[in-house]
Parts: sequence; structure tokens; C-alpha cells
Amino acid sequence: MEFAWNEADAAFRRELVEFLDRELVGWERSETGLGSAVHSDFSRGFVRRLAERGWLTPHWPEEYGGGGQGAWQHFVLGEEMWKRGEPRGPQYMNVNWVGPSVIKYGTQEQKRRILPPITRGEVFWCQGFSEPEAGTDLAALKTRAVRDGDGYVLTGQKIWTSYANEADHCFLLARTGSAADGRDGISVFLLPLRTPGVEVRRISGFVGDHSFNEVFLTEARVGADCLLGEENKGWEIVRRTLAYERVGAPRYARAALVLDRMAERCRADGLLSDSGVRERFGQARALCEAARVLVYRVIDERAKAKEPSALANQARAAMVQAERAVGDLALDALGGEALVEGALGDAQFRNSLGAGIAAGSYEVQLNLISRLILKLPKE
Amino acid sequence: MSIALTATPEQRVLAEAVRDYCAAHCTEEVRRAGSGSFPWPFWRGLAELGVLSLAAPGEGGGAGDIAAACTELGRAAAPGPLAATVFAVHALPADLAGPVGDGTGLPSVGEPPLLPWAPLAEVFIETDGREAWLARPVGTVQPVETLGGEPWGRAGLERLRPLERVPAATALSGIALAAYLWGAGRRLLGIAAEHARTRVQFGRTIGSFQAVAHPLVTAGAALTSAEKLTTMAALAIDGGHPDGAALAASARLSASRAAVEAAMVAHQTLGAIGFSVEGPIGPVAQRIRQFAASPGHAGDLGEQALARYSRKGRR
Repeated sequence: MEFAWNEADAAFRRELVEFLDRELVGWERSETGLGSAVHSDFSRGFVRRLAERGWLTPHWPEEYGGGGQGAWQHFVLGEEMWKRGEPRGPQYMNVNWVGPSVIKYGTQEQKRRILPPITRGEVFWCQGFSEPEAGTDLAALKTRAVRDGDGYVLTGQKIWTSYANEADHCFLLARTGSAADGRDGISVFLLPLRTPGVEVRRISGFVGDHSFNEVFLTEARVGADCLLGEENKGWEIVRRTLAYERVGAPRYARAALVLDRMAERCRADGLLSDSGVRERFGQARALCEAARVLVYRVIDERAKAKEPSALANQARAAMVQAERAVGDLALDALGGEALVEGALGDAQFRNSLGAGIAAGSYEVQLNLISRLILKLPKE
Repeated sequence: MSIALTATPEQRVLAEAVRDYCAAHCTEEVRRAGSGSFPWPFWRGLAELGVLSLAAPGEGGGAGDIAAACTELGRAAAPGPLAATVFAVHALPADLAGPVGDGTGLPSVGEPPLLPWAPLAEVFIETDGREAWLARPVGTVQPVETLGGEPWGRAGLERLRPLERVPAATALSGIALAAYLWGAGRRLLGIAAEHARTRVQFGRTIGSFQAVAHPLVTAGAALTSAEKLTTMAALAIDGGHPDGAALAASARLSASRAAVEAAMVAHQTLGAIGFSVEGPIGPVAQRIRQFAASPGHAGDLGEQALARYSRKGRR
């Protein structure tokens, strides 16, 4: 068992941190710079500079424009980005699972067409999963894809589609089978959002600059080359995708950093001499550390090319707990200053509200853990 | 235990009047009014109902009436510096309390440099939770936005003179906050329960899943205990009982915790819908979190609640 970072990964982190300290001057806009901010112009330029150094997709195979590095280096990248408010913008979706899904399930033509623009940092993708009637119960989705000649016609509605207003393409789920087929009638489409019949409308949300959208599909016609994998076999791709998504954003890294900054402030105010306050800090810190090691276990699994398991659910649940504990403490410990828009408390509270909902609800994670790890029967 | 923890007929009439008024006038636009768009007609209407002057010493309605009115305002998610108004009306001399009670001047009650409602306030009160002073801002007030959508500001204060009746004013404003918070928590819990009864996933209403139902139940129990504690504290204050102030601090702590829990549960039940600014719970949940973390001397609440027991221990 090895707890330390190996020299190559540690050196990579040092080099990366230096680069980020240089590149991200002026990027931290609020008191904290820790919001889930997206400034698409900045991000588009920034990811190209990352790509020039091979730091956008270091974990991809070299034949697809990757660096042939391991899962750990990719994860170091994720930690350092997330700590800084994810300056890659929505790009983390491309590199965490859109690209990997295409690598695993795409045709040669799709790989040639889709992967190079991602590795060069030229495109943004979004994820078209949730629908008004299909949230936690994703397999109830109704958006239809009807075979028509040499392509498909897409009709339906997606909702809560993060960054669809910024994105060029959508990793879209649609029903190719009948409703009765449930998860066996779903396919994945790689949809260019400029396709006629696709309309994106923004929904105003309150989690930082995070943008939510509705995506309306009205007889949008795409070629058969937009289908990823086999028709009606999309659920397997989704399962894999969700496993990557659950730990793709190392939220504990930001929570731990928020906690450090809070501790600095409380120490300056003399609050850390209070044993009650110290205990709260200790507990929150322990939750961040617990989440970190559980996520590392998932990365280890991935580095060894094992199938995704319930460890990802466990790690996700732990991250939710850590984010919530830090959010609560920020508002309790920092008094009125925590409430000012953009302050640590305000930002962390908004983020922690979403933690238990994004990438599969907290309750679903617990259900999966109870079934898969504790072997309890289904409700 | 022979005292009923229920509202008196007079308090029920008052509550009904506030409820009806809010139903007619606390529109979505009023509810969302942020900085720069304070809903003065709504606020003056509350004054005409007598709600803003309930805490006037000697002639006001007392803690029970404040609780009854503020609960309804919480249920309606009404905006405005309610607890500060209660504090100011009770502690200020009559000539200065007048404009606050008749809804023509807003009070800012807090500790510099971060002052609630400062950009709109006409009367400034500095308080550390034990003492309070009439004050005036030094220099310009620099406005800031807050989590709960209230216009606050940064400014220094110059103390003009000490105020009287501060412990009683603190207790009464604690009652106002407690009542508002559990009322607002009840509003969110109601919305969440309705969603759980009607939203279908996996072929069932989601409320039939225990993972969804149990947190709603637990949050409801916490709100009910906060409600009863608030009523008890108000009775103690109105009856001149020595535990009144400590009970008010307990009620405020209890309602803060219960309302925050209700807000979290409502978010978890409504999922992404909760994050829409136009959605039914987001802004209310944020205001609850703001009130629950109220600035200044909030950290002393636990000590005030504990004081009740240490005093007993010394007896």
C-alpha cells in the first residue's frame, strides 16, 4: 500500500500549480474565486493553452491525441482545477466522460471526427439527460429518435442541461425503442447543437454562474453517424458515464480549500480558541479527508482498468457530506460576513445545496450502496 | 402542565388578518423584492394593520401577538426587516419609534461594519446583544448584496446615546425571528410534501419512497417543536416570567435549526426545480439560511439559552 504521490505525479502537480498560478491571474473574481464559474471566453482560451501542453487530455491514449498518462495524472489535474473554480468551464465534461465514451463505443469515423477537437480544446459539450418527467428516474425519458432514411429525427425536451447555452454539441439520450422497453430502448446521440430544430432556452438559477437550460428538439434531423454505439444499447454507456461523472468533479478539494480559508479568518478573529468552533472545523476537515480517500479508491480502480463499481457511489455520498458540513460551518462561524454575495459562506452554501442533487441524488447513491455493498434487498 | 400552548382568540384574529392581507398583497413581485425595489406599499399596509407597532412598550400587543403575526409573514415569505422593526419599536424613544412603527422609515439593527438594510434605513441602532445605542452612519454606506436577497451595507457607526429596554427588545425580536422562521419552514415543507405527493418517478409518487418521506417527517417534527417553544417563550415573556428571555433565545435557535432543515429537505425533495430562481423554494430557502445565521451577536444565543440552566444551578 502506498500513500504518497509518486515522483512523476508530484512533479506534474508542481509544474501544473506553477502554470495555473501564472495563467489564472485575474481569474479569481470573487473574494474566494471558488464559485463554479464559467466565463466561456476565458475558458475557451485557457483550455487551448492547456491543450498546447498536453494537459487537457493527458489520460487519453496517444492515438486519439492524448498523452498516454495514467488516471492519476488526470485526477491531479481535476483537483487543481476544481480548487480554482474549474477554469476549464464545461470542458471537464468533455475530458472526463464524453471523450472516454467515444473512445470506448465510437466508430473509427466518430473518433476521427469528435476526439481531435476535444483534445485541442476547441469545443464544448453538454449532457442532455434529464427531462421534465425523467429526473432521478432517467430511464423514463421520452425524447424520441425515429429512424428516417439514413438518419434519425429527434423530438422532445431536455431540462436542467448545464451549459447548453455555451456548448457546441450535446451528449443526448433519446428513446429509439418503445416506452415499455424502459432502459433497453434508449440510445446515445452525439448531437451538434446548431442542428435546425434545436432550441436552447436559459433557466435562471442561483448557484454561482452555473447556467441551466432547457433544450427543445422539434423534428431535428441528424445523420446515422450521430448514433454512439448500438441502437437501444445506450444504457450501458450511461451507466459508465455516470460512474465517471460521480467523481469527475473532486468537490472535496474545493471544500477543503474553503475550510482552510475559513480557518485563517477565524484564527485572525480569535474564534479558533473556542473549543466548540475547533471541533466543528475538525469534523468538517475529517469529512473532506474521508471523501478524498474514497475518491482515490475509485481512481485506483480506474487506473487498474477495472469496471466501475459502487465505490463511486460511496465516494459521491462522502463528497456530499463534506460539502454540506463546510457550507453549514461557513455560515455558522463567519457571522454576517458569510452572507455577503460571493463571500465564502454564501458561495459554499449555494454549492452545497446542489451537491446532493447533481450527478444522481444523494438518496439514490445510498440506495445503490445498500444494494451493492451491503447486499440489502430493493425497496 | 396546565397552560395551553395554543393561540388566544385575539391572536387567531390577528393571524387571520395578516394571512388575508398577505394572500391579497404579498405577491410574487413583493416577495422577490430585492435591493433597490423595496415594496413600500406592502410594508405600509402591514403598519396599517398594526403589525409593525406590536412591540411598542406599554401599548403594543406583546410577544404572543408578535409571534402570531410573524408566523403568518413567514408562511407568506414576506420581505422586510421585521425583527429589526420589533427591536427598534420597543427600544427607541416614542418620537423615533413612530416612523418605524408606521412603516415610513426602516431600521438597521446590528454591529458595524456590516449593517443589515443600511442602504435604505433611516434609523440606525448598534447593538451587541446586551446593550444598544442610537447611532448614525459615519461616511457613506457602501451597499452589498446578500444570500437572502436583503440590501445590506458597510459603514461605520457613531453612537449617539444608549437605548433602554434592550433585553426586552432583544427577546421580542428573537420571538419575531423564531416565529417567522418556523412559518417559512412550514411553507417550504408544505411545498415539498405537495411535490412528494404528486411527482411520479419509477411509476410511483416519490413520497411513497421512505428515503423521501422520512426526512420530511423529521423536518416537520422539528418545526412543530420550534412552534411550541416559540409559543411558550411568548407566554413567558407576556406573563413576566424570569425565563422569558432565555426561552426566546431557545426558540430562536430551535426555529433556526428547524427551518434550515426544512429548507434542505425541500431542496432535496424538489431536486433541480429548487435551483431555479423562478422556482417556488430557492429564494425562501436562502432567506431562511440568512435569518438563521443572523449577524452580530447570534453566537451568543447558545450562551443565553444556557444561562437559564446555569441560573437554576446556582439556586
